[in-house]
Amino acid sequence: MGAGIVLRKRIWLVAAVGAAILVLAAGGAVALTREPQSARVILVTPVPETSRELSLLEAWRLTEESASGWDGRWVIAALYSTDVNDAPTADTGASGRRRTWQADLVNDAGATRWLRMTNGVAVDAIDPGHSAMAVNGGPSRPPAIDSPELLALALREHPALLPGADKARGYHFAYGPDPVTGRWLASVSGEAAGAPARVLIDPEAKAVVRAERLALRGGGLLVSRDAGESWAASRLSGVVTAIASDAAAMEETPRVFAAAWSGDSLGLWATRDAGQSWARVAILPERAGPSARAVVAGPWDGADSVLLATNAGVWVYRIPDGSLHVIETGGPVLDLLQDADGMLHAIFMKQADPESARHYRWDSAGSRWELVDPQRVTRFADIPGAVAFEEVGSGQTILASGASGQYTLRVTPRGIELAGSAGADGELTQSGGVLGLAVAPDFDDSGVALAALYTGAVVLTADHGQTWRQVTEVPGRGAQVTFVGRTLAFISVPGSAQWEGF
Amino acid sequence: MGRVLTAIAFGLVAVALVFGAGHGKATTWYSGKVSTGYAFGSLTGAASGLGELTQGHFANHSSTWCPGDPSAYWSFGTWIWGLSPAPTMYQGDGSAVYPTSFMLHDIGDPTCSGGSYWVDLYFGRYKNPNDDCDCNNATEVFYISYNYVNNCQDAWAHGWTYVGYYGPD
Repeated sequence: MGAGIVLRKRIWLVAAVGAAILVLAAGGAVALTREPQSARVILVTPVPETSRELSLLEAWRLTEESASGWDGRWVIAALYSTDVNDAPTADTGASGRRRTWQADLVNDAGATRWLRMTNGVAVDAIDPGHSAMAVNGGPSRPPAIDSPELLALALREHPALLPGADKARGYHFAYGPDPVTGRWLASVSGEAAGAPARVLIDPEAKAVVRAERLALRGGGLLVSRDAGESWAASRLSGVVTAIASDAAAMEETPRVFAAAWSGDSLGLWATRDAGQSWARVAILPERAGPSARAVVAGPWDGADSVLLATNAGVWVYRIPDGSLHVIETGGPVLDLLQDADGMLHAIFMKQADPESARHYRWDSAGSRWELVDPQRVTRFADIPGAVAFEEVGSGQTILASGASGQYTLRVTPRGIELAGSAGADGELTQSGGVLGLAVAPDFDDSGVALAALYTGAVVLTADHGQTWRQVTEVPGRGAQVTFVGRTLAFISVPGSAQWEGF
Repeated sequence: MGRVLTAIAFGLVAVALVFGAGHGKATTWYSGKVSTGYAFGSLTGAASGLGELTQGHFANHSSTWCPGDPSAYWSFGTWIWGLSPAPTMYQGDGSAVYPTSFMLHDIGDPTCSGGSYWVDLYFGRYKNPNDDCDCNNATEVFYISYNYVNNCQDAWAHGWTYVGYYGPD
């Protein structure tokens, strides 16, 4: 009995020590890693539960007050509102005030600190561990105009400025050096014509300096008519995100459809001459968003059609009459395919809830979506049937094979592998970051596949992925490859964004 | 012996609780995510606040273009930290820094090819006057450095690298 008590006591003690070590290993490691060698936490305070919005001037004063307790002299290099620690709506900021403000500060030695304030309290500050580059100290005095007046002025001069979305919801405010002119300006930002936009204001003159929106420009489209051996420019401008032809039509020059963002609208384009010329056949409504992540062409509901996976459902373009209608999904559609039986499959999610992404198929009889798999998935593999998988940023990211299933290629963090048995590493035949992989429709026979690499190189295999050779190089990053026939293939380059007047 | 063990146990638990409380806010470790680098380009990122795009800033996916990526919903101004392995970045005076903390200031990769939780680290805008300037961005703005610094080449050298980092839940 007594020995039993001693034993239990020792077990408890060992367990307590073990538990403490485990807690330290988990929580402590996180805390310690928060202060890596080159970064330092200056302040961590819980966010006050009571909401309190500040104007630009109030945020300026709070920044100065917070930094006054730091060692040395720190000046504000930029002050701006953000959505962090907030749950903003489109109306947020309409009063000219925001809950969260952030400031970049620099000292005389050029060291940088980032400060975050929420609900009227400084809640976070870190020294990111590297000095500012080409950042001048602030003007050491607050702006001569406050954010409610800034908003009124911006909307009066530029009524097209709407509340922002995405990473900066509602109206936002900032004060800092304008890199273009070098002057300290204030800004009101939101959205214009579906893109981030801002109105820059001289606080002393209380006048608008310029208004601009972030325009995304396409990087070009290339076409190959000899199964990837040679490439030429294809004249379709815009950001091309998806290309397809009727999968059943194995003609040499099939009718090809492409979805492209032109800077202000998402269009469906068609070519009948293998990409030499394109004609826009439809403009999708604004709510479809800027990107169609997949396009399917083929018979649908009794007519040749093109279906597009968008931010607001599957849009159906009926080729015979040019009509456009939507199959609602309740949120963004991530991928789309039509199987050999004509059944439509889609991966879609609830609005702003990427964890809810699931594989569904369309039940034509019941006119409703039917859940195929309760597991989260994000993409369809480029293999026969409707095989979906979850793209997680590591591990398997792309899978492609011919109809027989005899030859399968897999993209992993190492590069392109010939798929091995389940769970085993495949044979690596092309190393490096892979942006896209596409197999020819007759891959089983021809062994032809294309891959776009991060370096800009586009590589070709004609032996089922045993060997690869570079066939062209494209500028920029993010190129995608697509086969739309045995010999017809495209490379799309997304381009880049730049601020333009509005 | 028992008292010593008890004291050690309570001491360790107390230290663990202090670390836990100090940590404060919900965070997640993201491992094996793709990182890339960029440089030059326009003076400001997509974040509409003023101020120049500098080392310490990063871009990720926009939820408008890549709604399936959970990190695409992070707001501008979001911080990530503990990035490992840290990139090597050179400043105009030739000195090297190895930053591990970054602030979200830009968007990129509209075709979502970087995968979920992709980060694009900004390397700066310095180059030697004799260097070519070709980072393939819309507006190549750069500063001259006489210290053999070329942030564009540094960004390309960073390449397609798998990293881990702490970020919001």
